[in-house]
Amino acid sequence: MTSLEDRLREAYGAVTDPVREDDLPGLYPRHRTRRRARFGAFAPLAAAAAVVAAIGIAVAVPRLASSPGRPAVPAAPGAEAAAPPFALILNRPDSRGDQGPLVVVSAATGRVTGRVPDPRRGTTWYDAAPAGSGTRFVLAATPARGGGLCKPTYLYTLTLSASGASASLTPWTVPVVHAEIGSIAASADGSTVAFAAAPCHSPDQQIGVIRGQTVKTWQEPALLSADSLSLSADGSALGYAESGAGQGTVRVLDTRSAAGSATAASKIVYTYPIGARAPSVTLGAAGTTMYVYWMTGPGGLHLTGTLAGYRIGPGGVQGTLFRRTMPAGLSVSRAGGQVLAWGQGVALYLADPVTGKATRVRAAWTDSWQIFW
Amino acid sequence: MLAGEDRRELLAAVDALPRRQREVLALKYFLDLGEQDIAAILGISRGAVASTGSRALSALARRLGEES
Repeated sequence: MTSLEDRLREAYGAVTDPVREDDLPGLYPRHRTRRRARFGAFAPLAAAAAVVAAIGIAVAVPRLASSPGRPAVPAAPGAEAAAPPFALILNRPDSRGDQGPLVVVSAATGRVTGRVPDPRRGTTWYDAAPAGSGTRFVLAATPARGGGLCKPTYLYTLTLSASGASASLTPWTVPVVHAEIGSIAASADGSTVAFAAAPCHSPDQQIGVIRGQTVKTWQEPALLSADSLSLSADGSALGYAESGAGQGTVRVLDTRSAAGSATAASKIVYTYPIGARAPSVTLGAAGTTMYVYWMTGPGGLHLTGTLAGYRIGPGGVQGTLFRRTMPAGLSVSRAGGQVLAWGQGVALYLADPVTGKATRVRAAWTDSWQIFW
Repeated sequence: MLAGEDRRELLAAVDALPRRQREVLALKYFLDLGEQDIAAILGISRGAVASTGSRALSALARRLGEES
């Protein structure tokens, strides 16, 4: 039996090769066989068009194949705390599709200080969000098997001891998110959690906030997606990168607003440069600063990353803290008072929230599947 | 080499995935693109590409395991 990945490659290739050449005249050069070579042979615009078309076809191919007959008070950013003492690392899924163990690691030594077993039989850790204390995290788990694609997400609060061991794991009393969440963020005290998810049987995305016993949701517009969520320390402001309409923006949503439309409940505070790729964002803890990262360039090995910090207010950007070049392939989040810029297999940086000075740290963590710090 | 029935079963399982997961799988296994390229094309972070792809594979493995 070949691996699932090999089977996917073969299935896509077998079914789509006849479709692509006939249905996309002019988009692909003739007499080339390797798909990567075909993609890489074009100017960026044509390549992007080809990829968009290919996505449409490749995403639609299973349908063709399976159909009959065809296969508040602004705080000075410098006053924020340093990076927390512990991080969580979630390792890659194993060959059976399960995720590896969730471990606690010391920021000072890099060593494993604790392990967090799966919360109960048949479930597995899925995502996490650090709270502001440095020893508290909100964890998300889903059933490891069964439940089809409409599995619920169960939330827990993990509290660490001073030595980084798992001291307590407390289930939330309102654990029911009827979807596999895509990104979560927590307030400083861990009492408010925001998430993005594609609800069961729906093609469009929702943003949700759980506070106490209440779950409130806002609908993302069709074809747009929210990613890179972060909450201010008090949980009142939710920042996220919205993309999908040709240009990315950063929106800040007032989590106290009425449920409904995410567009109506949020404001655009930043627009990424035209051509920016893979935008990510994180709010500072006070909600008055924002750190964005994006890539520009023709693609492949020629991309350049940019990390920038801004002061923001109700009207958008109010001033620039810094703007600097970084390696490509990163995304930003917050590690306490520091800006975390991490790219799986690329590098892990902590950046000063005022000057943007970035220090490469913990190379051994770089290849982790997910890091929550 | 996959038999036709196996291929149809696999692609039917792919079809049942959320759209974003199908996109990531198509870009990765059809166009052989790396995570960085996929992130750039879809306008999402590289971490989101990694997690989406892994979740898609995990969901596929579960689904195929259940149905076999």
